[in-house]
Amino acid sequence: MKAREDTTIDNIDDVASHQQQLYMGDDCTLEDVLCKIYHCIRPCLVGLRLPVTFVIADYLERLKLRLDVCPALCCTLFFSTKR
Amino acid sequence: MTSSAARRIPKNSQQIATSYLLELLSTEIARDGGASLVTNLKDYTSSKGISPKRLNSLLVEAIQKPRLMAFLEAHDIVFDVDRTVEPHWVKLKCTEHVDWASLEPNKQTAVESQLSKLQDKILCTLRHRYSRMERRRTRQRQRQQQQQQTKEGDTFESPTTNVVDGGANIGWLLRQCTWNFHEYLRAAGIYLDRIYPTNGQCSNGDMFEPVLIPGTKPWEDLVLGEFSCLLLQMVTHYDCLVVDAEQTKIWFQEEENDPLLVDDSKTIHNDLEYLSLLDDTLTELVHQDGATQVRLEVLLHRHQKMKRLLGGRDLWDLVQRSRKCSSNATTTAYFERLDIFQDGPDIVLQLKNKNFSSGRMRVDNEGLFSVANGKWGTAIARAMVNCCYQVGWARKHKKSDHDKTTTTSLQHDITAIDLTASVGGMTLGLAKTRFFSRVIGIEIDPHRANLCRENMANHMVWEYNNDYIDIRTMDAMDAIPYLPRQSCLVIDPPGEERTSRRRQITTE
Repeated sequence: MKAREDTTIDNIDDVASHQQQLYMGDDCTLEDVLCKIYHCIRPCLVGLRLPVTFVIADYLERLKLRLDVCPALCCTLFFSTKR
Repeated sequence: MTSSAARRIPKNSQQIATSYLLELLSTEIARDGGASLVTNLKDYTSSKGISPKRLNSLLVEAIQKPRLMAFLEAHDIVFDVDRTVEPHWVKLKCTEHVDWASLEPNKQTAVESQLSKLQDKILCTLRHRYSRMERRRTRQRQRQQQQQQTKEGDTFESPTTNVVDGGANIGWLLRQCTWNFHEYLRAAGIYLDRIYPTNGQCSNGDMFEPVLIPGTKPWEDLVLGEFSCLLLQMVTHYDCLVVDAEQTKIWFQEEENDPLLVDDSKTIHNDLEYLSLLDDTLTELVHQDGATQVRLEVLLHRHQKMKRLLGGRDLWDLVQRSRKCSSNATTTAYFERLDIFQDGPDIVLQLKNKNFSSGRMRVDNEGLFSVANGKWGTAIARAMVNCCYQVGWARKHKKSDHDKTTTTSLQHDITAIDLTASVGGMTLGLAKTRFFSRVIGIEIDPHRANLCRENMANHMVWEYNNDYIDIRTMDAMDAIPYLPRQSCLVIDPPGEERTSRRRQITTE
């Protein structure tokens, strides 16, 4: 699994403790979409374009809890390019 | 070089980097009165000519990792880091490393520069507020007229307006200009001179205790007096400002030479240059944006130059007045190269000459703000392709031993899927790689999906006509079960603001 993180965040522990969530629709979160992808069309490569403040390590941890397995085949590539 | 010498050099460089950083950071914190926000320290070092990259390399030399917080915490004799507050706060415990000579406010140009920025910010904020009040007054006047007309039928009398501007609270103005004022206080040495006067004179470790976090209520109470004094000084230079120090209120008055406020019958002699500059800049930036249209809010967000130039003025009002003047044929016409119109609360700037052949994309009113532009589209597509190689889904083939260039042949069946296609910024990047066997774009909004199809048809004619690119109008969640396995998915989730805005529009 290749996860690219923003190395300039100093208070990464504190940021990680905050709940961060991105919505894809009205009630549907990005987590829901990734879980559905994992269950329906794995193996696949998923590239996410995320805000630079998004803490990927924390997000993957939460995703692991929902999927019960390491989502290595599902979530392979993360970009952090948005402002 | 011997191994002992090799070990000695890093040690020296580590010591040099550490002492340099200690002096630099201590001095900058002392300039704040003895305590600073950690996030601000990076800005302070940048203003001293040390780029974030250079700072990181110094940190790596000093503590082997590019973490400022780690450096501060590693030197707990000098710094006291408070992680309990967000953002984190660092206090100076020892003044041993402070370069007191550099704290003297001898660089007059730096002070003047910060003062000028602060004054611009104050004027911009007040002008913006004035424009908002004017719009409110106009709306109320129109509402009164409508009510009057419905009551009295055809016999209409002009109603009296009762909206009174009570002036802006100086405390509110300070909150709007917090960081500009903070920078000015630092540059002018006012923190050490007047706000925390004992700090510069003592030499023990407890001298920095009373320093407050900028932007908090106690800090505002502490510096409000200084801010009021500054406003009183500004009043003598700017006729458009009126200050009531007793009631802590400030008013922005009509400027005689302001193009917004000149009566239509008069010509705008004094500000023709300004209007011309504004027109040119606006047109140039919309052209630079790379799309066919863009919202003003987005343009102001992306270009500080434009924000400074507009300085809180109401563009819509300026355009209306300019159009009225040009219809009278007394002055030169401005803003003629763009279609400027209102779309609900937004102002949309649209190119009159929509030349798609030059690589321009058709977008909705948000412009390219929500779209991956060519640079990022290509970069992300390349990253996805590299990832396919890494996981072994595709292989690079060498033509021969003599020809060492690698070629990619479509011996795989990998589909690229853009789950959030929007108007096709990233979809286009994926299609241009010609690596994937097929590219599918999914967009829930029919209008955007149509724009995406138009963009694909304009930029990838053959591929679009031969079903290489497939744009589907549907919800991504519904589409997922029907997508092919072993594919590359790209997701650009909308931010919280955009989602909430879309929700608001849907509700309305």
